[in-house]
Amino acid sequence: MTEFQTLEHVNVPPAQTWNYLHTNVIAMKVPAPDQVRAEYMEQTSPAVTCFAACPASIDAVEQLPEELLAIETGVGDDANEWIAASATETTLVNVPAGTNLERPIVVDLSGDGVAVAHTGVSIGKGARATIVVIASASHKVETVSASLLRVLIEEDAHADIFELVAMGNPKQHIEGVGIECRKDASVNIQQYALSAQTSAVGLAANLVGDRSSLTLSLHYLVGSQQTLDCNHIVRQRGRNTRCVIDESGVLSDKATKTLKATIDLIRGCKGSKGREQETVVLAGDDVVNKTLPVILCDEEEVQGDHGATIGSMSAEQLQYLRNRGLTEEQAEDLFRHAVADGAVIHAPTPKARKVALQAVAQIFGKDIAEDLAEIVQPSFGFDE
Amino acid sequence: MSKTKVQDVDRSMYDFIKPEEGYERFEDGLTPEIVRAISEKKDEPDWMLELRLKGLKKYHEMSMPANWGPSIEGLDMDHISTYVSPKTEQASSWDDVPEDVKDTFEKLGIPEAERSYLAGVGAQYDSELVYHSMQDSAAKQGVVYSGIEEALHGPFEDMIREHFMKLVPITDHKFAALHAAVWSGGSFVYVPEGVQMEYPLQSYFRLNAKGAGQFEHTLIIVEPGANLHFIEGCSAPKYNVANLHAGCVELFVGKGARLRYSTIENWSKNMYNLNTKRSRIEEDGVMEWVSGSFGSHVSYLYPTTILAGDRSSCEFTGITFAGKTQNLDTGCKVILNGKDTKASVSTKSLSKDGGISTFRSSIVVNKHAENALATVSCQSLMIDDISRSDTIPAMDVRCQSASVGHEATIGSISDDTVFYLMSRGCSEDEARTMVVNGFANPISKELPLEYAAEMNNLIKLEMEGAIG
Amino acid sequence: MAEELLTISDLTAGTEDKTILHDVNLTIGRGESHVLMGPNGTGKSTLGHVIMGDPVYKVASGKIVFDGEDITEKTADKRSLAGIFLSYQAPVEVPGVPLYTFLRTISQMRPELKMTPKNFRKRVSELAAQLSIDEEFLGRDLNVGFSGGEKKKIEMLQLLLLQPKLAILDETDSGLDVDALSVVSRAISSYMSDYNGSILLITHNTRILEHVDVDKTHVMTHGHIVETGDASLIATIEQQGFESYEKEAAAELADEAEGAPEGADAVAEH
Repeated sequence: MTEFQTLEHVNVPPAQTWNYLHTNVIAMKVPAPDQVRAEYMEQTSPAVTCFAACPASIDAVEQLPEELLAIETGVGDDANEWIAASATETTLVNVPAGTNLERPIVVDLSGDGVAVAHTGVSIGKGARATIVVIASASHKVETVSASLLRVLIEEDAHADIFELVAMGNPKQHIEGVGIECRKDASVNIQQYALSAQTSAVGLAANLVGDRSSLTLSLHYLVGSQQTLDCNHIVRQRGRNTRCVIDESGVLSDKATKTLKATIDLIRGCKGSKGREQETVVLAGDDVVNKTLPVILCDEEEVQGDHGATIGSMSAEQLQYLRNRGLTEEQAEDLFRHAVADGAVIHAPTPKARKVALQAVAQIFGKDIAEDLAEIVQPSFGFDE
Repeated sequence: MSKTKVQDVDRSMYDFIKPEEGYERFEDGLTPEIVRAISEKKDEPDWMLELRLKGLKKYHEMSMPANWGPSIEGLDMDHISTYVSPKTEQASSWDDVPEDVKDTFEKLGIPEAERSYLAGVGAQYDSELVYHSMQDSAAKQGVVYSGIEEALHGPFEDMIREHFMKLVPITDHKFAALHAAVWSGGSFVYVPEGVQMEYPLQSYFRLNAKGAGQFEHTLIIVEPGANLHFIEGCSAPKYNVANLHAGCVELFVGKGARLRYSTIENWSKNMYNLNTKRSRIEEDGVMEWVSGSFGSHVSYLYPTTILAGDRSSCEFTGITFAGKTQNLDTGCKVILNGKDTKASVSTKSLSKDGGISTFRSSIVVNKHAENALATVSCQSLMIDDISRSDTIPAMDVRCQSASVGHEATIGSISDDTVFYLMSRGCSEDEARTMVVNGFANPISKELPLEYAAEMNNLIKLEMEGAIG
Repeated sequence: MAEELLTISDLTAGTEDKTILHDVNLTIGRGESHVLMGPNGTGKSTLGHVIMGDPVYKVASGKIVFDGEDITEKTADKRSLAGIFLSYQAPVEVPGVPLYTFLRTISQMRPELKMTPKNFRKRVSELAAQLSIDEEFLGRDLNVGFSGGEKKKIEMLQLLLLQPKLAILDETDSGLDVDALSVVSRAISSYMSDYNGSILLITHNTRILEHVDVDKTHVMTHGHIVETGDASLIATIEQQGFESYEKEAAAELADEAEGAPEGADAVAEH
């Protein structure tokens, strides 16, 4: 018998609002840490990999160093603690200063059982690295997977992070990310949430260094009776920091999606700018879309912007697409396809591409996936 | 660029205290005895007493949300008197109002406004209405504008019973429950079918007593095809102990009817303002809110509109200006239930001198609200770097043919703009004031003339001062 | 004259509360290039959008026949599939839709353009090269964060991919630098020569016309076509401006019966 526990407060935004709206938090029912460890131990291949010739060090550790553990994540303490306790694989990756990692660091959670990985990546001064998190599971019912990724980006360093959640229908996933950017550091994150019965995607970034910057895009496709809860938090602390967030997606059937996006302009971040924009297309009679786009500000010389467009697409967009020959229905379809296509187009590794194509095949059919595989050439130039 | 130093607001026009000598004042605190005493004093129907006692019970059971909203720790209900009344009967001529009370309203300009542009005025002093009057022309059309207790003793009792605390149930939140228990005063307005009110009605609420609460209830029923503009004003002198305002406004707008509800809230900075306002709009009805929040120490204020009928619509225009020691959590809620409903929300907020202003809203579009349209636009202007301005808008959309648009911006007065104005001869101070006024202008032009002047004056006072 | 492709007869159209186009007559033959000129705010763009079937505008009277078929009542998607293409003055941003996906979708819906994924990829790459578009753009969201020049090039990419029978090019030259202008202008001439394309070029600026052989020039003021001539009319306008036409139109308007819709001067171009 699997024993379950409920994480009551997952994806808690910094500023909450009326509780009756049921937007503030999501509760996740997960197996107890002991059970996760027992089940996961049976699996052989490690979740975190890079390549033999990789200049980065990849070490299994008991616990991540304090510096990394202190980084706030988007999923919150309940989930942090559960993941830290459940993960049999806790991995520390060090990317030496000045190195340019040619191949990505991959956190691959594509096992069939419960898979929980806790990963810390420290990117040294002036270094560049790509980190890929793939969450996919093929068959087992009641599969839960979770990844908690903490990334410290030192001065002048850069990270590209690509996350793909394609769990299939009867699966749950928790995807937590915490990022800290030092002076002149930058990070670009692409999140693709294609399918999972219930998923909590929470990302927090702390732009602590002057001129540090973040670009973040989330693309989601939520259908059947799936639930996606997403929590984006960007704390702008350093001077002249930049943050650009774009979220977009399509809800169909009986999908429920909650997006909390917070830009926190903290006293001292003079000259900083933060922008967030969400576009949601509702394409189902029973969908529920919740959006909480928050700007917190206690600094004067800053600029914060939020925008959201929810529902049917804008009249201008629809007209533009009609002028190119699409009916309204086809235009809606285009948006759905586009989400999955994007995951294939931008997949940075063969495995990510494969998983994205599998998701396309599962959602839209094999022909579409094959067509796409032909048209879209891999963006990477290596095999795994 | 140097910053504008701002002075404390000169509130002399509101900040004068009248003695309470000879007033009836109930003991502080909240007990069933006090609730019964209030009820008895008003000689009201039994159902009302029952509602009050239920409210009191709920009040003790409920708590404030732990995870959001400004702290109300400074509010000790054991030191709030829920009922204070000047020893006077309600008058319909200012000549019959006691001198000190009359002087208060003269200073606030109420009788003058009544003479120049209002169809009727109600004036409440602490817990009781001291004056109520309406033009004969309106009365002849069947319009009723009276104290709510007075109306409870007349032919409208059933109608009041049918509507009283139905839009805002006593379980809504802790202070709605409190309101139900100890409410006193407020206005009842009934506009019969098809009646077009050419001039506004205005109720003014003045809380003079120290350490007291004001709990007026406003109930407005606008029948199909009718039209009303209602103005609500409020102020209080400043004390060093907490005062409480927990009023309740319930508005029923019939088919094809139109109601505009304008408020300039200017409570003193020791006031806890936990007010609840809600309206329900039937088919083709229109609700317009204009709301200015300048006063109080802590505010929780979110006028709510339920667009129940098909093609009903609402507009919410609001401004909040939080200064030193103020934490104003304001905004609105709209629930779109009918088909082809429309909601438009436009707000501005400013904070300075360590003040905190939070814009909080919720837009809920239910499944059957086909083709519903909602737009929310909120802008905040930062005037210094020790204040706070947060924007927390929630949206819950469940209808695929609906369209909801939201935009929020936060920014400071641009140096380019200040420089441009200075290059045309304005001082930096003038330039900044001009920018702030321009920022607030779209709101102030929605207000009745006198209120717009009052608001501009308030902003000017807030902005005045030397350049540092 | 070439075989008629587009025939607009006695077209009066506008928004719900304002008539913008008055009794417009215009015929464009297959393979012809027409230029529509006129001062700002006279209804030129409106005409382009009305031909495309923009629901913002209502046709009060008159009809539009395209390729032998009355399309006056048809929706924009039907007109597009029939072979009309409207290049936007300010192309719309569509976040969430990669350019690749968009191009594949719009070409797949035209049976005559169906091609294997491999050929599609090749075709798009060629066109991107021809238009000096970095292939990296193909993975980016449609028009999102593109510069004005990039957006116009993407419009040209669609034009060459779809090979419509008629292209309405609305201020395609506005906001372009010299290099982009030359790319766009070469794309237009390639469209005309390679696919026997017809164009209706809307402009109030004569710069882009240097690269295009013009068959006919029309002048519009206040929603009326007040003059039609050959390419030489362009030179005349360059010298004299639109003032004389404006006066003519004003006089004409004054002659119209009382209660006629007001002039269209205030109409914003789209």
